[in-house]
Amino acid sequence: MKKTIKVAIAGNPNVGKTTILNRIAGTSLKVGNWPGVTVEKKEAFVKFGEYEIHFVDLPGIYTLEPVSEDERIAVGFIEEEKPDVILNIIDTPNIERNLLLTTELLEFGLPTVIVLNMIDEANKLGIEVDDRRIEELLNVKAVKTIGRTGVGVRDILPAVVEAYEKNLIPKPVIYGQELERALDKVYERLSAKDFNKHQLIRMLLEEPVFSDIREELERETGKKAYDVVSDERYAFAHGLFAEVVKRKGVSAKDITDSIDRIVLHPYLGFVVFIGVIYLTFKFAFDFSSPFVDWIDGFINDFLAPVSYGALKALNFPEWFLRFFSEAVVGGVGFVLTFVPLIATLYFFITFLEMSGYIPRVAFLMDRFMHRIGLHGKSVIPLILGFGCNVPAIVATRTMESTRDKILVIMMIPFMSCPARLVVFAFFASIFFKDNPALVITFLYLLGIAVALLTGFLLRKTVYKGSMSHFVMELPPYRMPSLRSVITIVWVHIKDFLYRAGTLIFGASIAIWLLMNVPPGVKNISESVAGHVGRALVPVFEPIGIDNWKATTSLIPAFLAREIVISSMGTIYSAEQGSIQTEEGEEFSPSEALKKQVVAFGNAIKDAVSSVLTLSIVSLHVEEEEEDNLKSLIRKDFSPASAMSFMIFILIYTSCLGTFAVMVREIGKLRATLFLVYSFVSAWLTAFVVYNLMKLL
Amino acid sequence: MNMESLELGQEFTVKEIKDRENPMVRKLYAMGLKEGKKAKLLLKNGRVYLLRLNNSRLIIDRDLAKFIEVS
Repeated sequence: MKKTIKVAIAGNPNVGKTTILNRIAGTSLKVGNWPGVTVEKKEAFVKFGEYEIHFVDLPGIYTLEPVSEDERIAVGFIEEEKPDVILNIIDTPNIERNLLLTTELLEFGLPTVIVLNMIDEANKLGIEVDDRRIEELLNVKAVKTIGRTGVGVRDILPAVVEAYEKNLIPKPVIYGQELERALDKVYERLSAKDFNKHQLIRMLLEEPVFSDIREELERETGKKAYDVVSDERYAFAHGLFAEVVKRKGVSAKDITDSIDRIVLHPYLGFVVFIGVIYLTFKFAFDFSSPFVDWIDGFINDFLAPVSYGALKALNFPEWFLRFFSEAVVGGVGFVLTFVPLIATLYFFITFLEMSGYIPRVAFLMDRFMHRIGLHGKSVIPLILGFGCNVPAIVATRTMESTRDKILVIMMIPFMSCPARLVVFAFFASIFFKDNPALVITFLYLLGIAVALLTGFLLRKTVYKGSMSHFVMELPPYRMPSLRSVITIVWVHIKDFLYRAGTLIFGASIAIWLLMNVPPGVKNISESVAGHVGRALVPVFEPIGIDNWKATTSLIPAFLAREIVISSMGTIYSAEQGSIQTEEGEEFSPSEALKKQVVAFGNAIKDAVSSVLTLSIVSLHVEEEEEDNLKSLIRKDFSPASAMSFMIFILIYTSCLGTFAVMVREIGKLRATLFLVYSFVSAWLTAFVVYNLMKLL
Repeated sequence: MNMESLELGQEFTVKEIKDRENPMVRKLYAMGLKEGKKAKLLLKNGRVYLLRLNNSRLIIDRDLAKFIEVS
């Protein structure tokens, strides 16, 4: 058995921790249960020599003092999980500030590896750091890296193993004599003796039993005890900086300032913002659209008939063949076609975040957000919500005020995610062929409007009070490494595929079974699913959804919205009978495969050519033949009821993942009340729009 | 003087930061903005300021900036 070394990765925000972890871990990177970018617990297991190294990425923080939840998570992890090695990543251009966290980490007395990252940027600024001197002064290992290109990253693993094997305990951090004396007194009074300096300082500052020592320290220094500790830490960090930095560089004007003059301009900045959002969606839709069509064709015209034929040849019973074509192909197969769309949307959102643009939107949008009582920083989780609501909600952990956090969490679920886009694209292509782009844009804007209205209402009623302060660092613009972006996109896709294989597959099976019990049921409307769906019809009838097939498909859709389409696929294809190879037509697997290869080549060509245009090509009118499902749905909906259905899917938080993470972040009561609120507002909005459209 | 009276592009030195008990002020300290530090006001947008401090850029809001005395 391999020995495990547990490594905590700590550092300021934007120091390149994610990039370095990506480099070290590659595809073994795991982002907890929730995919995301900046705040959740990222982990990776990497094999090196006779060891298995378990990396845990802590949230990016400036200090270990508890300011927001991020610092508490980091301190909690180091204290409770007791890592074997601390990997402290430093943004070398800002080494002076970074060394404060280093000082605080050294107080734990754990073997430490210091990574001097972005050494290229530092060199450009004329900053040169003596890594050997750091090792000598602190008894740690020091490594110089450029995370983006990977230079030096391979030295990290050997350094971690060496620090672990030699049990390189850093030299003790020694502060001024008054503070050291006070800490000695605290230590003397303790019966157990296994406390590190960080814990002693915390006891000195917080424990009532040591108030006399605290007061004595305050008398001696003429300062508050907290200020003494803080000043001593800064002084230590500054001393260290003076010792290890050879040339101190002058802050030079760089390209970031020039770009910011346009991107952060009060007016021009908005034009840029709208342009960036438009291009993000345009590229995401247009680049993925040919591949979505190709996967659809690949599953339905090749994979499904080939495996259907094989199953038939193997004499599988009739019910299994039906199950295969209805639940597997009709349900899961359909959802899989949206992988390219989700991948490209994540690609652009990740790219924008890693390039440094998204934090700038916070500065730009503050003027608007503060009108509803939030500051610009709250825009970041809202934008991430366009990718997926779950990591967006987790990202609110960086917010210092609980009130702001709750407000933003209750706004995020209205930001339309790719799962909803799947439903919109499907319905818009049937009922709004003339202008699907307009309909989808309207739905996105409606989501934003409901989010803002919700924020405004909550602020005027439940969450009154003054605004919290707004402090944030803007990273310089950086070209993200393609490798890091792709790794993160892959983590999201893996999660989506996992859901398709478990949750969505499970829901498809469950609904298929419900449609086929009691056994021998001939007409689906007589099955259990039919009865449940019919019982729900009166609730949805006023908003135009008056057939049991649509209401039935809404039930499993609470797991995830895209299931609504797959369960419709299952219900409709079951009702119609299996839809495999057409009678009388010879199916030749080799011919079909050849066709698929050609189609894939065409998809690449289409993807490239469509992104070169200015408008969103994939949302243009498509005069294509409707498949079975689309023509069946056309019979059951009108444009007004389709719009009402889409609005309901948009506003109602029909997503188990989002609900679960809300329960964790804001508690069961608030999350449940929110769910009810989202249901009621979804119903009311759909009701109004449905009736307005009927009048027109 | 107060940060409000600074012009765009003006360099300044932090003279004093009040209310060190305030967690946000503590965060400012941890981000490197403290007494004696030189910084530059890059941009203003409504109620937020963008500062340049050494090689980093910080956004702070006007209310928080009131705690900072500059010269």
